[in-house]
Amino acid sequence: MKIRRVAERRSWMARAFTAILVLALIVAIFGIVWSASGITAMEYQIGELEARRQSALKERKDLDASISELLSMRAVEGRGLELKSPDRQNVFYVMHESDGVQRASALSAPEEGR
Amino acid sequence: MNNRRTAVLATIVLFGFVLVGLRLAHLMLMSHKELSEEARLQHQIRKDLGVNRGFILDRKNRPLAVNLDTLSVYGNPTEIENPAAAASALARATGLSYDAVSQKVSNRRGFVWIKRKLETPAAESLRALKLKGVGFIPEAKRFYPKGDVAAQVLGFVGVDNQPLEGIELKYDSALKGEQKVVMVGKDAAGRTLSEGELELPKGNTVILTLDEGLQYIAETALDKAIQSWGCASAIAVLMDPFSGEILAMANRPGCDLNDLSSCRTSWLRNRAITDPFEPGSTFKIVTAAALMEEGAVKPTDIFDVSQGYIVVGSKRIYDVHRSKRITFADVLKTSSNVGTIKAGARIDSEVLHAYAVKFGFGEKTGIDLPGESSGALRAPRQWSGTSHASISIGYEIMATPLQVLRAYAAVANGGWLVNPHILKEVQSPDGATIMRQEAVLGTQVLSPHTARTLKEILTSVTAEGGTAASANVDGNTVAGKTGTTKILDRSTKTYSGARYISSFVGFVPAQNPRFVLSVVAFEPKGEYYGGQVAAPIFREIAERALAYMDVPRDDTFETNVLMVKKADRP
Repeated sequence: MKIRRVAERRSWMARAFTAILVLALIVAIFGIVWSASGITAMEYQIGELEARRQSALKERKDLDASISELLSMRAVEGRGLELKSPDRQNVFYVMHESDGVQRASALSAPEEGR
Repeated sequence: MNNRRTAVLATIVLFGFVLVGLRLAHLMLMSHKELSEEARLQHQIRKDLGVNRGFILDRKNRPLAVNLDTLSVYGNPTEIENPAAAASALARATGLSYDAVSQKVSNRRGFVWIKRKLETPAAESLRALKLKGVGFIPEAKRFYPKGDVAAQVLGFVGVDNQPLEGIELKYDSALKGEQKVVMVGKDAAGRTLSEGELELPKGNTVILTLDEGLQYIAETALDKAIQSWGCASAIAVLMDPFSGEILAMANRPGCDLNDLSSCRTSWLRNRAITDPFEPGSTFKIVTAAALMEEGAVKPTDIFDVSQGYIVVGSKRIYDVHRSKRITFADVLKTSSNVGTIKAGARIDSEVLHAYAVKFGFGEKTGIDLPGESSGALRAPRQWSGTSHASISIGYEIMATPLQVLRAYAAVANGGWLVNPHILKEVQSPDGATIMRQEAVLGTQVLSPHTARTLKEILTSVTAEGGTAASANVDGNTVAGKTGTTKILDRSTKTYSGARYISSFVGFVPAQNPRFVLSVVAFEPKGEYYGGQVAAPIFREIAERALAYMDVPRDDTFETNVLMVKKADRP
């Protein structure tokens, strides 16, 4: 009787163990498939982000080119901003007696103050 | 019976499995490489990252040449279903004529370019039409943000980004980026999957000694001169007389590098180095240097030029300004041809020739730009009876504006012949310095004493009574020399009485030169003397350049200095 009970318990445990194994296998397979599809989806997302990044980089290049075009001296003068070179009569040099280092300073001095 | 049938069936099935197994083994073991490649090609696409040439920057890192990403449109006429409709849509988007596009799409070849390097908005609108048989390839397009500034120096590239002229050609190996192609994954719908970071390849950055500001100042002044004097063309070159760094090299008429179709071929030539001319009186400093270095003449020696002309062989050579008995210093100050020829007769032809060679005439300066001319200086044994006199006043010798400028730099810097150069630095794409152009000590061609004496004489040229008072700039002393040359008519081999080259070469401030500047105006109309045409251009460029470079006036340290005592400092 005791032997039979032990055998039944072992059989039940084996069945439970087999069921767990099968379940684990199914979960693992599902997990792998799910992960693989997740990775693929993520690759799509990254691919899209990369495309956006490329587009942004391209836009930056265009903007950089526009900036240098707009900052060229011809463009600045052409905009009629009446920019003028500094009048050298209005540039003063500040000299410290101790170190003798000169520092240029442009002052918009009135005509009679020159 | 049943057993037999079962055995036969089992054998057939087994044989089938064996065949399938063998085939699989064959596919997996024998054809693995080819099939893997085929599979890879089916789910991957080639992505051309293009050639990104390095940037060209000026000395203050301002971009002079950059790249833009564009799309080139191609067609596969065999796949285009409705050529007429496709041609119409393509013509609208690309700006090409319908006939031109129609001819392309009717062509039965498999591949045809419709339009290379199309601007992005037009390309995107065309892509949105999803025309069958029309495809797009990304290509980098060279863009020059400053338009026509330094066009002849920078050069340009062809449609395949191959270098054709200027810096683009000279430093192509440094600028050239490697063509990079990567394979990226795609699905059945053609959507791309990430393949990680795609590093865009890029060439090295080339930094020039040119200054965009100075270049613009020079070009603007030349444009105004061409307008005022009706010159055929004009050139200005600014150089640091001590290091040989080219600060500006302007050639006008100019040319917008982004619209080459509107340019004449001659406008693209860097005439400052490619086109030699007879320098005329600006060459007299070489004669004077030879005379003084050899002890044949002192600045105070008197020459009789009262006749106003001198007969050389069968020719009469005249002075423009009539004088009587003048010192050699005044011979240069008034640019007397008679006085210079008389003084020049005191040295042998070999000596005059040797000094011309010493100053770099007859050979290339070695500037790092393509197409430089060496000019022309014949050996004394090839000289005619009039050559010695002619060469002493700058005729029968051909020199580029840069060669003449280099000779004046030697006077400005105390006697050293510098090596003109335009490259400052080459940087890798990550900003590390790969190569830096170090200033190379040139050869000494003049003693400091002679250089000083010549400098004083050249300063008198721009003073009252000199030929170039109009070259004077406000606030600083200018040293320089005018030149006026008749243009030789090659067909008749006679000098034209109506076509001149007007030039002025000088440096400023005379005592501590910040730059040496050469101005050459070709075929001015009306006035043509160097003092009338080139000298005022020199003044305009020099005045603006001095302000731009923040060079103090000569009197600044007497009038515009604020002394601050140590105790006053915060």
